[in-house]
Amino acid sequence: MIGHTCVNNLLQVEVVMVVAPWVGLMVIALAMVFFVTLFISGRRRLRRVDLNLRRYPELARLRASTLSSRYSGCGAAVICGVVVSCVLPLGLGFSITPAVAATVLVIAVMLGQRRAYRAAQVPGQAALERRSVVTYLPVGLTSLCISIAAGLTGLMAWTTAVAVPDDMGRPGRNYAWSCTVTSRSRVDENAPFNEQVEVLTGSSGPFPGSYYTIWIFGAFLILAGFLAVALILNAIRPRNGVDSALVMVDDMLRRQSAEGYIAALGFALGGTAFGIALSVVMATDGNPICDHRPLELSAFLIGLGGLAGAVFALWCLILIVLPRGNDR
Amino acid sequence: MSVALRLDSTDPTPAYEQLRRQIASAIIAGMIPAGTRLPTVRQLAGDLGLAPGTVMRAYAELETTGLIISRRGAGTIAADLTGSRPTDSIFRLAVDFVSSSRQLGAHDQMIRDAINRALEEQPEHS
Repeated sequence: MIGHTCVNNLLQVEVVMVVAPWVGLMVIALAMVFFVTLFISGRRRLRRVDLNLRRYPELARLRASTLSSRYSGCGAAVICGVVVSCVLPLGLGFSITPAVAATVLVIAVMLGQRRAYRAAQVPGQAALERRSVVTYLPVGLTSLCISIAAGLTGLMAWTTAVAVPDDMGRPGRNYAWSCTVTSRSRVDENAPFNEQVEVLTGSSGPFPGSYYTIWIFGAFLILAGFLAVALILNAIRPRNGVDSALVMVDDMLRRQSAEGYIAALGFALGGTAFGIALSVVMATDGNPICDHRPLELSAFLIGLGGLAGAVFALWCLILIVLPRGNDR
Repeated sequence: MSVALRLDSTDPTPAYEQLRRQIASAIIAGMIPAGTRLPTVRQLAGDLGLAPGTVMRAYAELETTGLIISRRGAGTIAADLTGSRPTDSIFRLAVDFVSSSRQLGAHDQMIRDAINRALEEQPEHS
């Protein structure tokens, strides 16, 4: 049953690709951008890694555990993403796949850190220092995530507000359009023109209305919960703050983990924005009868935003695959 | 500037008292500026490998002597001692001394004798 649904869902994707060849071209272009950036950025980022972890074997174990859980988390995220896409019908699975994948990744890294949670601790020794989540957050990446989250919320609010039920009565799954068409006709060449004004209505979908946005909102709520726990645990992970050399290495590892968590959020936000924008463009585009210039312009801008979201998601994927060095 | 905290496992003094004493000394000596946010109970307990209740007790005693201020939602901050009279600071040091002496099993007369002896050894105009 699940296999059948999965094949159906994948066929839908294939249909989308056939209907809009530019979508396929865009995916190929994005994949090329990803691999080129991975190559260039990877070399640069890997050069920065210069950790003196020999002095702290426990911290080296923590780093290894965090990295291995990050990569195994990526694998688990892909599997969960495919399963979710297959199990939930009508593109519902695809709509929450980025958030589900990010949640799985966050949980995996969090569990990996728990295996060496006390790596930096020396019982009975500590510094009277207050460590907060904000201390370790990457400023630029976090700001971008907040901006994209705000944009995505606005877009989702709009799509939820304008969506209508589809032909099967499922609420918030289609986009309704209407326009007036004036036709002129006459009986013969000498007769006057007879103008006829006709109101045309219809709907097209799938459109990311409440049918999808409720699930997306729920998935992001769960992601936010796990992300908050992960970031708090990352900040309060015990350490011997008296040893300044250990503090330097430990701070770097915390920043690395925080960047990974925020990158997972960024991937979810960018991926979801891309998916929603693509659906909006496809549902509002290609209506040969009605000429809605403002709508076309809006769809074009939303499409551009979605493309930016896809690029951002790819960049976040690079940050996940290639953790930062000690550049700060 | 962060203050180093070191608990001696061979010291018979309870961990909360060792902790209280070290934080109190740092605040009175001005090593922790007024308004500095102290670590959360959970974080400090984790760092030192103690139960949260131990740190909570140390914080509660520090709050009783007016050295720290705990506010719900705002965390724990070091109190401002600059406006306090010299007698207040001396009283805080005395509370600290008496508390430490009690941990060693000293009774009132022993504590008074120790203060008198210290005063004799360090006269006022020395």
